[in-house]
Amino acid sequence: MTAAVPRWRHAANGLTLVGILAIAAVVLHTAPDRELQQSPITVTGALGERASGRNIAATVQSVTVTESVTAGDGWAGATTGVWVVVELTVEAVVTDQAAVLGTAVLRVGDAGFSASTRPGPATVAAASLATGIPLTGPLMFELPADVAASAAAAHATLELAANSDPRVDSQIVVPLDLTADEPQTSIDVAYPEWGAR
Amino acid sequence: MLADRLPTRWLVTGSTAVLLGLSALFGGLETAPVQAAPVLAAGDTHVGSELTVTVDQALLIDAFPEQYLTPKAGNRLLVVRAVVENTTTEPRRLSPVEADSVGVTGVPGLSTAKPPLRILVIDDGSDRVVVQPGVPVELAYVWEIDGADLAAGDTITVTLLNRLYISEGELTYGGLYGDPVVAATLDLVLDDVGAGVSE
Repeated sequence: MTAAVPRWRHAANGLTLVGILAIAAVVLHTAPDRELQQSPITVTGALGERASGRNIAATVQSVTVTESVTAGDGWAGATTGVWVVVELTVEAVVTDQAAVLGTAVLRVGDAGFSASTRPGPATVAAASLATGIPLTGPLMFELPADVAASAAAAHATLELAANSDPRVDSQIVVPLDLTADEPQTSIDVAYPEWGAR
Repeated sequence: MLADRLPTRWLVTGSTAVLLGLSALFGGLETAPVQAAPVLAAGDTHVGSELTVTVDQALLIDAFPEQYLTPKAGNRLLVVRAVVENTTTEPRRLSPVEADSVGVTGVPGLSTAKPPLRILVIDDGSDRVVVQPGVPVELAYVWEIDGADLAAGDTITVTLLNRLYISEGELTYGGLYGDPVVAATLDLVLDDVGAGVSE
């Protein structure tokens, strides 16, 4: 027969166990979850101000809601909704390797709208960025007319990243008010060009 | 114990008989009728899981030279026109490598799973189609076929496909989707527009 385990040892074991469980609980509940581990690193910008992330810097000059838009090369695609046209200047910061304006998403309420690639070379969506050489041009978004005029449109956000997959890299987020100005019937925008405007 | 003396084959036979007996309640070994996908008429709107699709027309055309889309000699293009609306809250790129929204069956020399050669926005002919939430867009789904296989007046079957969400990926990021399933079909009589009209 073994010697009886003293009572204080039982109590100490119990306390140790409770301590380990408490630490485990803290670790479990404070560990970054999947979304946080994968989320982009947000850089908040403002209309008219330059915002700069790891490999993308951008200045949003204007935002216009319009029924039709004619691009610099004559493209004038029709939409069953309205066009939201964002004029911006964008450049790469550290490298032009794989630096493409692949993420250009306008969020209104819980819906996301990607910049249209329908205008082809007449938009800066999916355009290649150059390091330190700004590219100025339009982004065109197709939105349902009621969404562009909704209350949520006053708190829209534009997300820009130098990659089609913005995870764990800088993402510029610019709050935009789509209802600030009267919607236009039609506008003309310039062809994308190198240099800041 | 009785269970120890019961021959195993009695158990097997007995349980099979019980299962078959139970299945008799639901129709036994009769072939169960498979719920056929609903058949639509041209112009009917189909509300799918992510896309609402209205197919208007199917036609044959020689080529779309302005979109650099010219088939091999002897081949022609089969075009299905459809208005597609995205009913989710995220933009949806229509796959160029898998038929996941509109397909065709009953075309000789064209397998059912064959994705369209190209999907074009009819308004401006652009071919990288991303359907934005709540913004319907008229599209042309284009397949290349042997010119001898189809003629005006022939009937083809258009399948409207649903992409089914399975779950968030465990090892991968983003949603996982199963194979597209046929949610509705419609029969269309082909038109032939020859070389078509230039824009």
